[in-house]
Amino acid sequence: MSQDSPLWRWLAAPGVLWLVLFVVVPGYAVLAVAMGEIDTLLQPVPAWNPFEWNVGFVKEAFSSVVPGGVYWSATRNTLLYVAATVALCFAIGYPVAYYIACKAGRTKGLLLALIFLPFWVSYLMRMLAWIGLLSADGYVNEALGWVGLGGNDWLNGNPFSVIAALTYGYIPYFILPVYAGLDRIDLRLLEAARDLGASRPWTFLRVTLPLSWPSVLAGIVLIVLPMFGDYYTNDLISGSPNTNMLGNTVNLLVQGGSQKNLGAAMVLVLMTVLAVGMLYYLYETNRQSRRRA
Amino acid sequence: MRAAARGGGRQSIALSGRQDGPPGLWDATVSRRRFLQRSAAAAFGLSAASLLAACSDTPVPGGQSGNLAPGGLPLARPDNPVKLPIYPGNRAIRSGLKPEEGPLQLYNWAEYVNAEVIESFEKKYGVGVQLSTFATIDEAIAKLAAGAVGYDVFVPTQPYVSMLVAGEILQPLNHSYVPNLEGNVWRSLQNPWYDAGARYTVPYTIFSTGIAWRNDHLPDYDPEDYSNPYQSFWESTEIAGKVAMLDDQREGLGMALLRNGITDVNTGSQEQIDGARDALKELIDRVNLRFYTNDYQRIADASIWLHQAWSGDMTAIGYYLPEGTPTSVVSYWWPEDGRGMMGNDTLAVLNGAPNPVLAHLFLNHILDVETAFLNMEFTGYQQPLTEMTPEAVLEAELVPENLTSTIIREPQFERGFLQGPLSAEGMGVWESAWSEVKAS
Repeated sequence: MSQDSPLWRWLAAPGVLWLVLFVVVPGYAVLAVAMGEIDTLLQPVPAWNPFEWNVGFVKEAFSSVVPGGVYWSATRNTLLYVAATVALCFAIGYPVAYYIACKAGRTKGLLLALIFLPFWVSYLMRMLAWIGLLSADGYVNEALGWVGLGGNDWLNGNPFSVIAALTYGYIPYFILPVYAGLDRIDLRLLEAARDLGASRPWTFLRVTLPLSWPSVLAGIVLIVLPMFGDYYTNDLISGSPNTNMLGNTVNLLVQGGSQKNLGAAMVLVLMTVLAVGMLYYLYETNRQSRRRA
Repeated sequence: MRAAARGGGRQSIALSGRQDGPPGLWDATVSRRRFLQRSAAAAFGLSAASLLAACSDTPVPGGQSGNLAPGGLPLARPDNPVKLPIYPGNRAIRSGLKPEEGPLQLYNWAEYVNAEVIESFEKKYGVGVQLSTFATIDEAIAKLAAGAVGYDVFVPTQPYVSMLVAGEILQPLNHSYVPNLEGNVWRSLQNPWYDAGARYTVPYTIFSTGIAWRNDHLPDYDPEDYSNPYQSFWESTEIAGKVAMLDDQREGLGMALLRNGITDVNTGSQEQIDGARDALKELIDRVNLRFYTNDYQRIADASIWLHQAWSGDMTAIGYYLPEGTPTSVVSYWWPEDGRGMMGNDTLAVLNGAPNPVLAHLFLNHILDVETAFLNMEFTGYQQPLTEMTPEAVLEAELVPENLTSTIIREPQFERGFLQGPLSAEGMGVWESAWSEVKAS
């Protein structure tokens, strides 16, 4: 069959259908609710027709997340916590992925399985386990007590606990793509670098790291997208308004009776911010693959 | 072992209206006007009569937030009881009909009725009962508004009743099937101000919102020591992190109103709500305030020592305390003179119910004294029945002796501050204030 046979295009049909049913339609529904009104029973009335759009909620949502806005503290917390979590995931996850991909040898499969193992336990259960560990008389404080650092209030609206919990929850999603990227690196390139006189650290910095960069970006995208919408980690580990993230704000608005339109508008704000990051990712991977071609 | 009482489900009973952003951020008035237009335009088929009522009573902009409830009906207040309208296409059933064959479809909060109560109804009338549950009133109303049919009995939180009537979600009652209303229920709730003549609802449970504390950790604490007992929360800086409030906009802002000396817990005044909001923001900073709805759990495991609490959750605290901890370590305060916050849930028959006669009979069954005690065994929540006095509940061993303050007496109820519907505009004020509190 020739390259441009219509059959190949039809093979994409299930994917397109999936995209339309579960991304385009719900996405437009969120948009229509954000641009809609509210009825006598406090239910949102979506505005399906763009000519009937009411931009008030979207304006309100955008002006509330900037400095000086009502939800600025949530925006600030989200950016800080996500940035810190990404940094931690990189600092912890990259060496782990590197070890598994390049140094583990025959134990590779076992190590990968161990990374996967926590997924067998529900996310909520794993977070609840943290509550036990971090409680005032929990094991963390007990262990720290041996070196005279006990008595910490980890669960009392403590941003460090939230960041730690987020890191714990999302790090496997970071390690896996990075591992896949490192595993794919052509070893001959590393040998070539060594043959041409590069030291080991220099080879890593000039060859391995740049070659794995797209997979690091993929890992960051994988963990950042869900983290922007995460609210339950925060609810369980902190419960204090002081550590609110944007996900908590959306949750509050969507459950808060007649504020569903504003909640939908807030989702649009999040999508806009994430779309910018996503575009950078696409641009970067596109550039990389073009360079390779 | 008994299942968890309903506590957790209360999270979203808070009434809410559309968000009015802080002034200057965007043109809030436009949306508000649109909201009111839609209220009047009656997306859910209000009759001509209610339209007239809505038009003749347009709220004054900038004033005490109008006197219309969402949906366009007049706003009920203790000094302004409202007879909810009967619409032409939505009449009560005739008297003397035979019960249907069922099964009766009950749409209730999760964990909010004793299975034995359902069983005794099934046995009495030889029918089956199917229970469907919801976790938040928002979820339930969204489902009913979308036209979910097939349910017979619904358990709306009282502030939502007038809105549900305006949307013709509920059907009027025929009292001839519900003799226990007149026979057993407190006189003031046979004819409540939020539903004069009990046209659409009968009362289900009633609760007070007071202060619970662990007297083993706070031996010297007593709300009565303060000229304004609610002020004690603001003074509890020494136990910062051990202080919590109910994660509920009506309760949280309501308590701050009381602390500020305002007893109208249904106020729509921007100034009063702003004051309550500021008080709560201050409280968050002073005592590292937490917001929870599982007050029973928090008090039981002593992760919180001082908690704004629902009476019913404290009534049942014995079921949550760790083994070996006596119920005497928990105290509950609510003003003896009754001048404190209260709320209630109601029972109603849904418009279009497939089994309206059975539904009425179920309402009557719930208002039976014996059933009510059986039900309380599971839910922990009191029903406003004349025979359900603190003494009787104590006698039935449904409340520990040191917590009889969790049971409301009829004379207290008559002086208490019952949460009722907010005006359409007032809801916006409450909601945006609460969002700001939760985002601080």
